[in-house]
Amino acid sequence: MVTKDELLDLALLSKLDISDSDVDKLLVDMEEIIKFADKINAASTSDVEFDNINDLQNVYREDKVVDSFSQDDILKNSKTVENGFFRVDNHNHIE
Amino acid sequence: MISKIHELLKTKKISCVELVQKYLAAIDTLNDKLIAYVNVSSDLALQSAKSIDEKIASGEDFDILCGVPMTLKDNISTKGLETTCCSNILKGYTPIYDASVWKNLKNKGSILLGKTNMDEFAMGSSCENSCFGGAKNPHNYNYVAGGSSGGVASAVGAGIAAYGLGSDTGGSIRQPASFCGLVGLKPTYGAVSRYGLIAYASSLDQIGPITTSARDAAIVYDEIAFKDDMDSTCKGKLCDTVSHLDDNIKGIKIGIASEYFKAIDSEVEDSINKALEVYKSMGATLVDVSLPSIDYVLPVYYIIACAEASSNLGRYDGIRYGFRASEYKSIHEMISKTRSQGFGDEVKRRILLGTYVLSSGYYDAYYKKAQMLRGNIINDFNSAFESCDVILAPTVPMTAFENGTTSRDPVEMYQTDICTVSINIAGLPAVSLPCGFDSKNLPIGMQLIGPKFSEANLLCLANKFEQATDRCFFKNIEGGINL
Repeated sequence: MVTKDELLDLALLSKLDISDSDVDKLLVDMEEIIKFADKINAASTSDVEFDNINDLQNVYREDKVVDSFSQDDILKNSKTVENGFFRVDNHNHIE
Repeated sequence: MISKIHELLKTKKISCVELVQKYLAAIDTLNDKLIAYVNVSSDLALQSAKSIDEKIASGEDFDILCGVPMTLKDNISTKGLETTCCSNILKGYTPIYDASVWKNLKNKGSILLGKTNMDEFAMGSSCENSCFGGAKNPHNYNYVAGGSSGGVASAVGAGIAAYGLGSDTGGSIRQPASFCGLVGLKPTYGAVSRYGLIAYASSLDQIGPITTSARDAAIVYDEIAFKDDMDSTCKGKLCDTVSHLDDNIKGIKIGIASEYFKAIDSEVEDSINKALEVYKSMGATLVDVSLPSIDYVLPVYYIIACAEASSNLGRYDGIRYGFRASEYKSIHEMISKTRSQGFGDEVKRRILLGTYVLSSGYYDAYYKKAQMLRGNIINDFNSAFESCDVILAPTVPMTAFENGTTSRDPVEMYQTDICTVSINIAGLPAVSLPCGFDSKNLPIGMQLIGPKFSEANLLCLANKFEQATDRCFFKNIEGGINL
């Protein structure tokens, strides 16, 4: 059971605003989805190691300095840039 | 299709510019209804075609993919060309680098016709979670193309791209390929570089081709599966697959897991049974195998995928790229307003679930337990492959959904992924190929699943089926390019 307070707390952690009109619908959805996820409770996992479950190995490259992106390129997609930095105003802002 | 285009260009029966013009004209006619493409790059395509014609005219040898018009799912980064993941939050975002797979195909002379539709951030099974509206099924516009790589399947199925690259996190290449009557290959985790693929769930995502034949899938796979310094999980392919397409399959053991046949449509089951008879007539033997952990694979998949997504999608803050909310009173408010206005409902649901299963007090019960169950699923496959070479299963328990019938109940929608997600969970390769039509004339697909890095064997088996059935399960769509 997910309560309204829990949902709002999750939203805060997820950096999402949930409007009052969406809360009821999301509570129903989350309830259903968590009930669905709870199905794993019945399964046994006694003989499985947790570490590196996929048995993957890193494929490393040689550790040497290579060219990367220019500062201009990195800043290209930002809405507001100032003196080579990303700029965000910390107050009311209307574009 | 790819070999045919190569032959036509080589014998100068058509120029590359003429070919691209034909495709662009067909896109112009069909795309309004299909919504396969979300961005058509006509000028770039014609410009590339012109330089390829010059190359051909000079008598220079050219690669088999050179001059072949194709498409990329809109989560594969293309330098200088908008890449949105079909999300409002990335509208206007133009990558400053090419994904490794596209960089290589571009070097080989592949011509990008445009970017194709998908469920937002690849989260969905119908393509209807796209901010552009869902791609339609070329066999019948009243049905969905599938998801999440619905646009690629819609375009290739309709004949308005010769082939395309999609991504598969839980079935997103194979399911739309199945719905649109195409071949879709989900490679082994680690065979194809993910550099430049906008991440959904990093331990599951893999790029692969959607094509009109097993041979085309092999040609494309051989060009996209290479070791890449930019992806530390990628080691490339084990061997070329094209050279194994005609290997002898006599004596091959095909595993049948009853767990994949629970609750599937009878028409799908009939087609699969007929396909098994075809394989038997070619000298294959059938072996029963058991995958008991499949029973809880869906929740395991959604817990792991959403946990990884909630972390991967944390980067969308409105500061560095994409959409930014226009009114706010603090940085925190700017970020949460940007994300709330920019993400669609399904993405928000998955971020919330991912945050829930990773939060203090729930981590052990959900995320850790799901990872351990992932180990059980991997063990099941390992045991099954001790007694068979491949496993044959339906790709989806049903054929394409009618438009607008899928998004009401999220959990009901998740259930349709039952046959595909286990392959991603175990990191295995699988190829979906057409094997029938239902009573509504919609394509039915089946998938061949193999041990890690067995793509050559899977594509060979797919090719043999295609030949034995005289390609009768592939259908050309009116208005598309049929060479």
